[in-house]
Amino acid sequence: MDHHERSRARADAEWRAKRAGKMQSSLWGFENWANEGTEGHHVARKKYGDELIDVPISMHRELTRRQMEEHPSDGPDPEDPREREGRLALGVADICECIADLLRLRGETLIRAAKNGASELKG
Amino acid sequence: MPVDGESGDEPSEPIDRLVIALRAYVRKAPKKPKKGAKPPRTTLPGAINWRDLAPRTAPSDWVLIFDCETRTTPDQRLRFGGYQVRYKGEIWERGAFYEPDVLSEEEAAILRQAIDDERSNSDGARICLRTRAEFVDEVFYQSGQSVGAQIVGFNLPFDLSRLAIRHASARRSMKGGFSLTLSENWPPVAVKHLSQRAALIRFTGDRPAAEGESEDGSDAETPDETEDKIGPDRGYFVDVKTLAAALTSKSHSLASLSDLLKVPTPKKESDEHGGALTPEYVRYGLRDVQTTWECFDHLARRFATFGLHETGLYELYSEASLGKAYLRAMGIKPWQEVQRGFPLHLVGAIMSAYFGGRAEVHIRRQITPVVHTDFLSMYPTVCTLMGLWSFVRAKGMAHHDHTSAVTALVARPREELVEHLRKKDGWKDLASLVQVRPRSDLFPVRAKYPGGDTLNIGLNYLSADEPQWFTLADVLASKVLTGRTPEVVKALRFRPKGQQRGLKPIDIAGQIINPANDDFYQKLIIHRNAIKAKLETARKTEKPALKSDEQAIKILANATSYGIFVELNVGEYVKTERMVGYGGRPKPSHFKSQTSERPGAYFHPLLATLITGAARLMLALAEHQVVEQGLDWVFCDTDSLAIGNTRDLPPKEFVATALRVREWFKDLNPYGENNPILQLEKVNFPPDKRDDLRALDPPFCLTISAKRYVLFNRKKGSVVVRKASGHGLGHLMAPYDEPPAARRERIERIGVPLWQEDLWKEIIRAAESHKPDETRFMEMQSFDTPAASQYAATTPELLRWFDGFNEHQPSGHAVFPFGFLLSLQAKSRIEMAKDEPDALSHELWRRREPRPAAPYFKKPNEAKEHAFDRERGFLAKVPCPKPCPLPPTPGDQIPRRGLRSTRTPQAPPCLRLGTAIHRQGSRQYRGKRVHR
Repeated sequence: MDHHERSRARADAEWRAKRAGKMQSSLWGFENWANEGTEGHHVARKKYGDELIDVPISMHRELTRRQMEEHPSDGPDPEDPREREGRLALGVADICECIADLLRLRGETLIRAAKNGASELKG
Repeated sequence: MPVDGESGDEPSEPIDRLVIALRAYVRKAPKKPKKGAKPPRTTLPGAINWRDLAPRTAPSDWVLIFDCETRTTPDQRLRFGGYQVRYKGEIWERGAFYEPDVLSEEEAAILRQAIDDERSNSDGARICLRTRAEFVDEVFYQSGQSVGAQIVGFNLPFDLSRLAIRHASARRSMKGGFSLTLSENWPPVAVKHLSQRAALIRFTGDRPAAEGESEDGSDAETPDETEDKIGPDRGYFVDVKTLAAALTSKSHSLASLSDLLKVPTPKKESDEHGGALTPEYVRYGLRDVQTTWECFDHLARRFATFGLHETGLYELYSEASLGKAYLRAMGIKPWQEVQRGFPLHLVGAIMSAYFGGRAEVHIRRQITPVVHTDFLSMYPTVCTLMGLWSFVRAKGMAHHDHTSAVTALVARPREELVEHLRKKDGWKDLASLVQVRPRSDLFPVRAKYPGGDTLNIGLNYLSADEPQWFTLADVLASKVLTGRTPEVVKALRFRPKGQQRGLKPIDIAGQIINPANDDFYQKLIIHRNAIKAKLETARKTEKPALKSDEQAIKILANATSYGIFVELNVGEYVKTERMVGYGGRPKPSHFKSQTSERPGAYFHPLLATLITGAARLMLALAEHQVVEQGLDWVFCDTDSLAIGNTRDLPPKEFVATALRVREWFKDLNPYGENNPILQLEKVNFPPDKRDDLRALDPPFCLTISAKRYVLFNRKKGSVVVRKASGHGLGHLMAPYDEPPAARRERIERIGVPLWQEDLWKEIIRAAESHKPDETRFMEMQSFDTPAASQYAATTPELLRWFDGFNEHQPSGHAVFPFGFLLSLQAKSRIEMAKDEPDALSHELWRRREPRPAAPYFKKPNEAKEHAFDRERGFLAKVPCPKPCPLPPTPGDQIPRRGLRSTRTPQAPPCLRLGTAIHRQGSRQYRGKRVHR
């Protein structure tokens, strides 16, 4: 899936969320993280590896969506080590992207606050 | 029923007996209640709970813009198209799509090469070439359905139908429209034509019929489609043509719009339509998409300044949509919602008194110097004078008997009454309906006049046995014009009840208007006048913004002061239904009909009826003043009156006398100004001396029927047309070319294009000659071209015209919905027998004349060579399409119209209320009887 196809898949997901009345700042649902608890997430998908990390529920939902919609379709053998390593790499990439998006949001919020002179930052 | 000689004082007057028609409030008859069930409602339905409509989700930040280029054969099938997908305004992907079945290999290669060239010249943008099917599946639906994009085009119904693989008649609420299947994998798109400017467009869905809803979904109590909030699955279609018409109050082509908005990439014309595909033509197609985007973006930004955040661009169908959006923004709830128990028989009485604006010709076919006047914002002005805003913001209206007061008012001497109406206070008590027994009184009459097939309205001397409802303004107008006192049977006065809660102030072009305390119409016009004053002294850089504000206020004032109150949307049931019609009689009429009429959201018939009635009274007062000053008038049209110098007064004396008429209206200005509300049109002044009274130069006027007139000056012996009417000619194609920019400039300046200006000059020449009936149109250059009208198959019924033709066509060559064609006229059999008798043996002439149509050509002469019979499908050339420019010549049988509605909604179902006597006056003929 190239950059444009990924963008379109995310636009599609954003529209589905909007239609369902879930107006969020992004698909990661950062604003919900503090209050919603965590869930275990299989980084490479359960069938491709046991690597499990705890992540916020909204983040888990988006990571799973990416695994199902944006990652390549299933290969012939889930036990193939190349397949498993590849899936793990994609899972880690998604988590890195989440961290990048979070940092970008944080950065923009801080700069906006500095510009407005407002004390809108909490935590 | 009185007959000639029995009805009174002027037995020798000719009398026409006519069946007159009155408007009624019509709805589906309630079903018979089951035993034990509650009795059916006899009050205004009010069943539309506007707040219960589906919640609206705003579209996403994605926009798809596309445009199709077609071949010029009758099928006008897609050749290729251009598109852009934008996210937050930035291009995300752009490219072209094509129909492989239509483009040859060579043409496809040219298209591929052109797209490759685009790629190499771009800075890494994503540029794609797709087939039509790929575009539909992967771009159109992915954008419109999956990511909630707005789908934007210019004349979108045409472009959508070019993408379709098949079509059918739409059902339910879209009945009367087309269901277009674009892909087997996605739901069809339904398109329902509303007007030349607007169409309803939405994705169809598998929506089960709601309980109690018929298959067509057109129960009279459901809101009209244009009121329905659009859910996310319905799509967000924005036709820039519709949007531009709503925001500028004018019809536009892409070229004229891009010129008006001064976008960076204006539309370029091309002569390559239908020719071999060239790289230049591909670039032209792609450029059109960019132009469409820039126009959309410009209009979207302008709309954003209106502050109507709850209204989407996809919801704007006309200026009326804008007006309704403003009322919603102010928290004004529709009358139907706040007063559900209003008696239906009273709604019927109100509707029976409803007539449109008055348009009449008085001095016909006689060149007369005139001073052309019009009333300042007529409808907002009468709304302000009558205090109708209090009704709009009220919780309802109350009524009470007012017979004795009205009888006393009407009985006052004419001159006293006229003086009473000269003051603003005289207009405050006009919110009344009066039932009168007409006896040679001057009232609006709706009837099929002799020689006509349709219902027309004229201001006639009316006598009838049965009493009829009119507005108090109409009754006073009759008294002012005739001096006779109409016989009042009953009068009802209406008053606003309380005030709605939750009204919110709004900001309109920098002016805060508080609907709870201000008179909306008054404030609006005061603000507009202030902006106009600023414009005169503004710097060049400030002018565009001020002009835009001034135009927006003008549109808003007009959109909220009349049309929306009498919006009735005509539809059709699947089968004939039992109907009940409430008219002027105490008991309703029962009948069957397949036609439905659904009130718009802000339907308030009393206001519409009062407004047009008051406007007619204003014209009657102007007419009276003209006669009082010893002058005469030539024509009037809704809010304008041309004062004629029929006494051959010296120009200065004529102008001074006409100005005295104008001065009479000084005290009626409700906007705190010292100016009369009767204004001088710019046509009275030399082009460079607007409003300079010393330079006032009365133009000459020649009228041939209501709404058909020309105003002109003479300069060194030649005629200079200053203003002309193209009424009734708009459907005809120009017989010769005029550069588009010059055409637009001419229409802006004098109201008509070059060929119509030439037509009027010939009519003037004939009128001034000793043979005024002999015009020489056929001797004029290019006027021997066939009369051709552009025609679009906008409804399944219109498309059925081509059934015979389509049957003979191979796959992919049939005429498709929304295709443009030309409609021509064949000679009659009698003419053919004289000119070409041999041709009559051709099958084409069997039993009837051919019904010629032709593919769309810019020049009707070229179309003539490709004409075919639209029903029988002969592709053989139809012999001799009739060279007939259909001008309104003095010698022709001109449809003579009296008072005509200019804004009446379509096809009113009227109740016949017996016969009445329509007679001509003794002093001069009026209304339809105007021949001098």
